[in-house]
Amino acid sequence: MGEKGAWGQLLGIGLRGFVALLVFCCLPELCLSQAPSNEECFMCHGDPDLSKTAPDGRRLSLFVDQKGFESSVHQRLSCVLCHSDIGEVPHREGTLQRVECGKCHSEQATEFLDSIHFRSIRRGDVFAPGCKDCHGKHDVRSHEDPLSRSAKANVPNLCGTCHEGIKAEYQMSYHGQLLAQGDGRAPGCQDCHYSHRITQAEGRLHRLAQANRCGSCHKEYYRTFRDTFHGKLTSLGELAGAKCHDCHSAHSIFPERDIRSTVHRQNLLHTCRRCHTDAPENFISYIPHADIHDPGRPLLYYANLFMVGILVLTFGFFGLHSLLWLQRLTVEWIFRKRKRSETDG
Amino acid sequence: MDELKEETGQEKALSQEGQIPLPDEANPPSQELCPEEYPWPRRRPQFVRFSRAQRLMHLAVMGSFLGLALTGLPIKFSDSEIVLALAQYVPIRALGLIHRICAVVTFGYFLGHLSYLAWRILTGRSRGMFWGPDSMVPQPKDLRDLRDQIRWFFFRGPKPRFGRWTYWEKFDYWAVFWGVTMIGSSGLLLWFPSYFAKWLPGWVFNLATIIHSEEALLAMGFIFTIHFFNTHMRPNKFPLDLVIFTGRMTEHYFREEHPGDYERVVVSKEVPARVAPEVTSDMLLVYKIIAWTGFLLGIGAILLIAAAWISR
Repeated sequence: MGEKGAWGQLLGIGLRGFVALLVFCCLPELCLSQAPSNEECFMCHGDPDLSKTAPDGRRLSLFVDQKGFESSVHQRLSCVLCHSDIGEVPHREGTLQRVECGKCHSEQATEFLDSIHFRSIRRGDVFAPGCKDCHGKHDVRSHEDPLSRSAKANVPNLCGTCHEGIKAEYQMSYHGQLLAQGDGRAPGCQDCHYSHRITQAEGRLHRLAQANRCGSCHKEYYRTFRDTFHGKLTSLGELAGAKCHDCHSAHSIFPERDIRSTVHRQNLLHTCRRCHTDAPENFISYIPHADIHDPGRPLLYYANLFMVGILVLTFGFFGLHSLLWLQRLTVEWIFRKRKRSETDG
Repeated sequence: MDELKEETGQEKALSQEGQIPLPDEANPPSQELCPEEYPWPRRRPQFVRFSRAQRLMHLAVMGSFLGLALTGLPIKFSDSEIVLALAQYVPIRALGLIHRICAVVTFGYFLGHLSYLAWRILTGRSRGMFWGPDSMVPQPKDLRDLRDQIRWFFFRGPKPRFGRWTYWEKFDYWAVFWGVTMIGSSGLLLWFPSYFAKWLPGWVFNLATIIHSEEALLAMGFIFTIHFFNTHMRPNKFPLDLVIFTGRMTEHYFREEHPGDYERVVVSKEVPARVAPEVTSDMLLVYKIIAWTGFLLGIGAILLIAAAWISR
């Protein structure tokens, strides 16, 4: 009896363990059994003619290109991960919840909340773009994918769908030409305006920080800019000082030798006059990026050297003079004190 | 130490001989020194070192200089973290306005002084202006004084007997001419670039920026360390010498600091003594507040320069 009972117990444990293992392994299927698979979704939404009538009478296509989705960066994700208010097939008709990209892409979403695009959306601007307007809906590709709309080479076209005039200016510019030639160093829209926290270009902070963005490539010009009165005012947060884009223009940027450049000799006076309205012609011989430590500009180099020389001589002589004086008086003071204590004693 | 003994011995001998009367402050100067008004009730007579105009001039120089220094510093050190942190709380345009107001004051006193000098020359009042003990012009005695002062620093001789103006005071005086000319002219150029570019090439503004900035650093550094030490902070004057504010000095001060002039005025009576009553305690308080404010602002500026230099 006892022996049989022991075997029976063992069998019981084994059976229960097997059932538990079975349940554990099938747990996802058991729980998600209600959720439709992507295949099920495409059974209907794979039909190019699927559409509905919007409340205002327009026909809205409900077609989702399966090929596009399957080549997207989200290809492995389940439809209902984003369309989370759908639990079964067929689902209720009517408006679904807005897809919240920020559930996964929280960093980008947080940045976007501060952007001029989102602030426009909140103001009720129907033209202001949200996530899907730039990244697409179902065919979202990584920005590293050259076929992506947000790939570096395609960004000017992407932004240009709304900002047409600026796109034309940019594509003509030196930066735009470089980018078109496939030079990865050339800045695109997002390098100055940022991908998600797209700051308002007229805003104080955006303008004050422009030199940092240009300076991330043009390091030498950045350094000499910060040495000028223009740059110093900008550093201190005063908008009146000219910043990179005030002289070089924001988008029509060309090398100095190019006649189209705002800093070409022929256009320079006009550029100066944007701020210095009554600037005479001599103005253009001002050196806006002077490097006083460069012997190639002897006048400024030696002027600076001369001033530093005076500084060193004056402080050297009078510094020493004061120190010697101090030691003389200190010694005298100690001497007197000792003498006084001697006489007192 | 031997020199010290010798020197103190010498001084004692002099006063014992009776060449220098009234060795201590307790005794007021004789009635001879201050004929009509003496005795003032409760206020001891003192020797006048600076006239009212000279004291006002110093106030104008001091006030405008401090204003210029404190409002110009942020621009000079705009690459410093500390200055940038402080600049957030300060409207930069207001600093620019104060800087320009102080610049106008500077041009005012500078031109005022030049016209005064011209007036003295043109009206025949220039006696002693270009040479002699009352002149600000550097003279052989100043070189000898400098040499003797350095010897004294090294215990190699007695303290020089300075006249009315010591060599470092003359240096301060002429430094203002140099400073205002350099900083003032370059500042004026930078203030009205469109106007001056009608005659001057644009690179002049590059040059003006260098001169304005470096010369201002020199001026600030000099005034807030060397001038402060020479006239205020050195141990026998510490912390502040109010003579430029009150205009008056005690007999002891006169004899200690300007023995050459003291001899001329008090001993040999070559020059009539200028005497005035000691300032009232109310006025002394006012002068002290002004002096301390300026002094502390200057020390603050030099500390800011040091901090900015380090945090560049």
